[in-house]
Amino acid sequence: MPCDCTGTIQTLIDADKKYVATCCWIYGIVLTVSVALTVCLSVFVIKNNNLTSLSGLLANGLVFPLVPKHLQRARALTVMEGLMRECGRHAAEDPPCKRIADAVDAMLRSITGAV
Amino acid sequence: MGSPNQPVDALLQDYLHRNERLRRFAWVFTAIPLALFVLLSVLAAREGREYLRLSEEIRQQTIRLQELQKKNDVQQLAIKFVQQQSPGERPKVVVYRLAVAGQVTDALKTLGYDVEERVKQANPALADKPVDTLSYGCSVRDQDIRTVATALTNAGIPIRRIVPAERNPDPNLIQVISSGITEETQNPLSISEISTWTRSSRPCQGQQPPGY
Repeated sequence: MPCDCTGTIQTLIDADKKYVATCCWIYGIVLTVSVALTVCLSVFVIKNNNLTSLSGLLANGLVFPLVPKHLQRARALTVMEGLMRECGRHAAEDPPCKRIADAVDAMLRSITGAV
Repeated sequence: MGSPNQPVDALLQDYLHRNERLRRFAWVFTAIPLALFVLLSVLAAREGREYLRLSEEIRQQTIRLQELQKKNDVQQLAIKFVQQQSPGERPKVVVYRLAVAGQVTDALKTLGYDVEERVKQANPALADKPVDTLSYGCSVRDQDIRTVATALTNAGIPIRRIVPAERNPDPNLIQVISSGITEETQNPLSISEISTWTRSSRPCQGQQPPGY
C-alpha cells in the first residue's frame, strides 16, 4: 500500500495541471486573437504597410505576466510527480513516507502562509 | 491565510481555493487588456485608414498643383511674349454676349487682357446671330488686334471680319460683336490671314477718327 500522502500529492498535481492548462488556453486564445487582428489589419484596413499591419502581434505581450507563474507551477508539477513516484515505491509505514508527508505539509504551509 | 496548527486537509482546501482564484485572475486580467487592445487597434486602424486616404489625396493634390504651376508658367510666358510684342497700355476687350463671355474671358485673360462683359448693352435685333466680328478703337495697336483675333479663333470663336469701331468712342477698346453687316456665309479669317492683317484706317492723330 503506498504512502498516505499520495492523495494530497495527487490533488496538488491536479491543481497545478489545471493552472498550467489555463495558461495554455490563454496563450492559445491570445495568439489566435493577435493573428486574426493582424490578418484583419493587413488585409482590410492598412494595406501596403507591413510594419503597421503587424501591430496586432503586439497583443501577445499581454501573456508575459503569466509566464513566470506558469514556469513556477510547471517546475512544482515536476517535483510533485517525482514525489508521487517516490510515494509509490514505499509502503505506508516506511520512514521515507513520513519525510515526504512532512515535506508536503511544509510546502503547503509555506504556500498558504500558515508557517 | 491559514494558521500554523491547521491540519493538512484544511491547508489543501485553502491551497485549492487560492489556485481557483489565481486561475480566475489569470483569465480576467488577460481578457480585459486583450479586449481593450482589440478595441484600440480597431480605432487606430480607422485613423490609419483615414491617414492613408488623406495621404493619397495630398499626393493627388500635389500632382494637380504641379500641373497648374506648369500651366501657369506657360500662361506667364504667353503674357510675357504678348507684352514684349505690344508694349504699353493694353486695350480693353468688351463682349456683349453672355453665351461666349466665358470662352472669351478664358482665351484672353491668360494673355493679360482685361475682358469686360456688357450683356445689357447687347443689340437684341442680333440676338440670334453668332459673334463673328472684332471692332477696334482707333488707338488699338495692330499687334493687339491680331493677338486677340488669333486667341479667339483658337478658342473656337471664328472671326469673319475685323473693322474699326463706329459707335463706341473709346479709342482703346476691342469689341467682340455680331455685326449685321458681316455675312454668315463669309469664311472666317484663318490664322495666317490674321497674322498678316493690318488696319485700313489710320490710327488716332490726337482727334477722333472719322466715323465717330
